[in-house]
Amino acid sequence: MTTRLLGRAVATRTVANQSIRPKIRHLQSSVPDSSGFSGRDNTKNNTNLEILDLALTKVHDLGWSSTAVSRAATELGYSSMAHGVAPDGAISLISHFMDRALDETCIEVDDQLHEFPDTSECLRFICTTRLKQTLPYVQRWPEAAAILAQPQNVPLAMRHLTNLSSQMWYLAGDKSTRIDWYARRSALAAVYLSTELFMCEDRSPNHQDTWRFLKQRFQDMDKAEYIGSKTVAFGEQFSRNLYNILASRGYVSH
Amino acid sequence: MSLIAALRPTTARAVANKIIGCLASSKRLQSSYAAHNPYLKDFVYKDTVRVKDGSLTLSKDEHSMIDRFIRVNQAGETAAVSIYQGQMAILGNKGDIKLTELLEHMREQEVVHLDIMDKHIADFRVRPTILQPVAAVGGYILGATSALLGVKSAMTCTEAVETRIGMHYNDQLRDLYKLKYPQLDELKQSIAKCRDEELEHLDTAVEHGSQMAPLYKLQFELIKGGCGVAIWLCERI
Repeated sequence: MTTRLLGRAVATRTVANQSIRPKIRHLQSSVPDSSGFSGRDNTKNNTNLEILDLALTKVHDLGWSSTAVSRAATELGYSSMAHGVAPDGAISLISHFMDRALDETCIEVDDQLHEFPDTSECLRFICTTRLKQTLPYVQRWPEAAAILAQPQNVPLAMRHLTNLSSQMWYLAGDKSTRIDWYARRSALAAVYLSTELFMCEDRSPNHQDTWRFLKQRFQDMDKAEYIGSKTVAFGEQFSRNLYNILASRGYVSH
Repeated sequence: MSLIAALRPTTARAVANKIIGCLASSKRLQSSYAAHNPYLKDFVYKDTVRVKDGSLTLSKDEHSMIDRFIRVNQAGETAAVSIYQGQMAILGNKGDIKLTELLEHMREQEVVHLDIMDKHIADFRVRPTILQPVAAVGGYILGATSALLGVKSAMTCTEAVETRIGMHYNDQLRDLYKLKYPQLDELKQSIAKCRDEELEHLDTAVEHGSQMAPLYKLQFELIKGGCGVAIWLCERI
């Protein structure tokens, strides 16, 4: 009853408003989200994602280009000028792909990570999953890498790479709180990037060489960490011994 | 009362638009997206950050705020521990047992704070600042230099630092209380605890004659300003 009453009151008031102040209403409706139509913004975003997702399936034929985006837009029934959803052309499409691939990776590994007791194994599994996301585009990936390496795109590429390695370490359960936070992430980023480039040139069946390459890089990483910790321990012991010797000769106080 | 409020022109228009918008968008969704399009899929992880082992989901903005806070707090506590270490290195073997015990007590409290912040760094997926070694060495140098100028100057240093840090923690708490997630209670409480103990140190420093130091005002303002710059840097880098 109340809702009906409210609805009628609202309807009459709205009509009255329309007749009295049409210009103001027009102005207001051009401002997004200030009143009502909360669904609109969301819908627009979904359309963007929809076009970009379909454009990714065109990459194999048309490359990382705005042509792929406008083809996808046409196919979905939008104007071919809708390639404006990717304002910077190729780089927007590549950026969308990297976001999408990382998102898919997170979803995919989420419930399988408890099977890996070892952090290194865990990371290798996440890396493999992420690389498998790039696998369908592997023919075209060198182009994307070339675009990402252009000077104006380097900040974006770095942001994606740091985000990627940070996310991977988080999934693997990293709890580092000091400067080793940076060491771990840069090491993993280097491992991932080199493997991705190796994968582009890999012609072996089932990409066995890539997975072997990845495994070796992780072994290198473990070895580097081992050597690093050994060096630090040696340095500590050495300086302590030196101090004790000097103290026993009376050069420094105990 | 609310009925009268609903009858006001602006509210009425908003309500009407909302109803129309809901109907329109749901119809549009049904007809063109979800039913016919296999590609429509929103991002799951991209725009949110899951912290505390996945028990809390924050938006990017909320997370970047907490990220900044905890990063600078950890750097601050690192510096505080090494300030007291620097003071201990100079004043510790002067034979004043009471003073040594006091400095030791304050240093131990700062170590506890640092442990708390380390825990939060891991929990909230915070990037630690890259200036951490600089903070540690800078703190040590500041502590040792002020202690070389005498006990009272050391206390001035403590007073200036703790004043700035207390203000800073209060600013953070004011912002944090705008977020209503119950999972953040622990963070708020621990920051409040740290703030209380820092202000305790401030009182102790004043009791031990910090304001009788030579060139007290100059020292105080210099150290306080330096702290402000360090905070600004550590929040960002």
